[in-house]
Amino acid sequence: MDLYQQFPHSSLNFDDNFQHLLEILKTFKISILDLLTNSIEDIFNKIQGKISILQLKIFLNLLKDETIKSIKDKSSTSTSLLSTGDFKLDQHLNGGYNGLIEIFGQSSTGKSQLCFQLIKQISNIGLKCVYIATEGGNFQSNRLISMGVNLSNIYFINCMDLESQEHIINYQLPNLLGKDNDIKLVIIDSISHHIRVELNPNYNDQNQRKKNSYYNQFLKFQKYSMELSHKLLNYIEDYKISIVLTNQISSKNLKPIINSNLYRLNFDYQLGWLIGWNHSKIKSIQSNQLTNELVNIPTMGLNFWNNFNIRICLAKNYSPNELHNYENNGNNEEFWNMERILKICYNSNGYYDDQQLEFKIDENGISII
Amino acid sequence: MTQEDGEVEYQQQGQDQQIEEEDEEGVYGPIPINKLEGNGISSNDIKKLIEAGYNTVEAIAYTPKRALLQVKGISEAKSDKLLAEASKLVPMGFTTASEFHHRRSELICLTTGSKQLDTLLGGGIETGSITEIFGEFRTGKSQLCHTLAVTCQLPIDMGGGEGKCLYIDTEGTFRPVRLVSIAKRYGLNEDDALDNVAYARAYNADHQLSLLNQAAAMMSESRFSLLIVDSIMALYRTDFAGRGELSARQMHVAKYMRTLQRLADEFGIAVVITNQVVAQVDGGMMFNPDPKKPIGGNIIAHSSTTRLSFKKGKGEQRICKIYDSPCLPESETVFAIYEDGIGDPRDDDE
Repeated sequence: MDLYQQFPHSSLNFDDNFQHLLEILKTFKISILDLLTNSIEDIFNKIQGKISILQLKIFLNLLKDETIKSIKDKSSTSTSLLSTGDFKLDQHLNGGYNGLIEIFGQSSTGKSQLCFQLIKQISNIGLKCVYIATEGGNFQSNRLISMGVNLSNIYFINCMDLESQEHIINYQLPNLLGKDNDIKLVIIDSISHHIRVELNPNYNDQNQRKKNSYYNQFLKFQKYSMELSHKLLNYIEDYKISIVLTNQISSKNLKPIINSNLYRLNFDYQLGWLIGWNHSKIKSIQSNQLTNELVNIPTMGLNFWNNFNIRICLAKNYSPNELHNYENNGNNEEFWNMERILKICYNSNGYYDDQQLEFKIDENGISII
Repeated sequence: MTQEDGEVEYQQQGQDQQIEEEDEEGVYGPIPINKLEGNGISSNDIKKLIEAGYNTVEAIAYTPKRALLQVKGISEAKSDKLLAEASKLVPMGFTTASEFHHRRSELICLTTGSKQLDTLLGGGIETGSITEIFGEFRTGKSQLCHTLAVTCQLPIDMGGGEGKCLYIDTEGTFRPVRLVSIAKRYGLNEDDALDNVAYARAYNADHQLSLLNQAAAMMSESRFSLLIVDSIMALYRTDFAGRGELSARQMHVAKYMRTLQRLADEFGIAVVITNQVVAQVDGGMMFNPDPKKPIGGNIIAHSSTTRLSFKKGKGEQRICKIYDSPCLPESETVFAIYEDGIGDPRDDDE
């Protein structure tokens, strides 16, 4: 019986009157789908009359009522947009953000700083947020204080391994969200720090190279990431919150394209559009036939990315400084101008342009130039 | 370790935490497990749990799900429900950020020996987090490590950590004789200063990782304030070769960095790692602002909290630049290397 997998919120899971019934359905391998699509008589025959028709009927009616109710409840919800605190960024996001948001970028591109900016805005309007840190020292309370944030509006926890991360996300977080209705934002910085070490399929590991083992690992990882995003999306609906995840970057070795008519459907060929490269870079990588190029992509894989409402890519870019005094060539630093780039790779709330936005980090937070 | 051992350990942990809580709250004490009854958890389930050795709500709350699933007759649905109900009753986990900030402000910073460098770093090398130092050879990476190995023993009002130092050396650059001259500068007894530095030479990547387990054991016995790994990637560069082994290498590095972070969190020590740089040879990159890059890729970059870049300056002078930090702006300062360790540049150098 897959009642718990299909309807984890159903009270029938824990109803003592139906424990016996669930056990029997399990031994005869009857799924929820079977129950809902077959006639009661068929089911009754299949389980060889071990449960009375009356009891089956009661169970089915309760299940249907509950399903209809939960669909009605969910269809009526719509969460309002939250502001990022920067007018221009809000404009580019069509008014603000909500739902499940991903911020990815290399180290020191400003992921945590953007999170702090979101915290600042939430706390300014008197609401609360939760910050779950996985990378250790990332939560710099000094920085938040100098930005003028009221720290008592922020719940904080640090998790040191995947097991504690799971415990926090699965049990402690919903508990906290249920208690405090002022919480409107949950930040997990970063989601992939532990997962990429403990779960990522690793082809080069001797133990995993055995037959089929790599593929099984891969499937396990896919299942895990889908369950995780499903859980987070449920919290967003149940508690009317937004969740911001930061994601780390890993290197990917592009595979050369096999010459066939369908090469445009190749994942590596399509990759550039998914992760926010500009057109010229996509073009150049594609025309090189992707030969053995090492590129930087966010971790967790396509299935996970597909669940996000908004995906923001952060990067650093360097351009030559025109005013540079060429006599002082020894010093490399002055020759280059660093600019920080923010790009909205995807936004399910409406139109998003392909523009690269330049932003700066100062004592007040992040602002688009 | 067998499954049973694992369970025993978790229960042990649970009980330890109970004892701590008892101390704090005094009157309340642990909550008996029958408080969980109702809400979908039957008295039958409670009985099963008691048989399996779980007698308090706290024991349940601190037990991972896979251990609960081992209890006979507890289904996945039940174990989720149990954990959810238990964490409602047991106050755990989340604190407000202001409490966190209060705890953080108690964290100390280790002085580097140079006032200017300390100012740049906002007080010195922070405990509880990982600081990475990278640069070419003879830019002062190991010299700073040697100085820190002594300053971490100083009393707290002198900018030290009142603890021992653990020095993991992978390149064979550790020179005890340097410690002697640095100890003289701070007026420490030379023999004591040397005794307080635990030194280990790592010979391969796996050995480097297993040393950390020993480190944890040593740190639980006496007070340490600093762990140095000089340098972190040297052995990986030889143990794993080529692109074929790149992902295996990175996985190993990621494990290593996480263990370091764990030690920093658990024991409140400062972790300092040094890193080598390589010239980038990306053919396609026309604009390459920083041709010398630290190695270790994205994993090291994401895992270190503060990253410092060291460069050579005039004579004894070296330049330190903040490359990545969650709270410090990108800026740089000058320090110098002398016989008695790292210091501020003296006037006669000019």
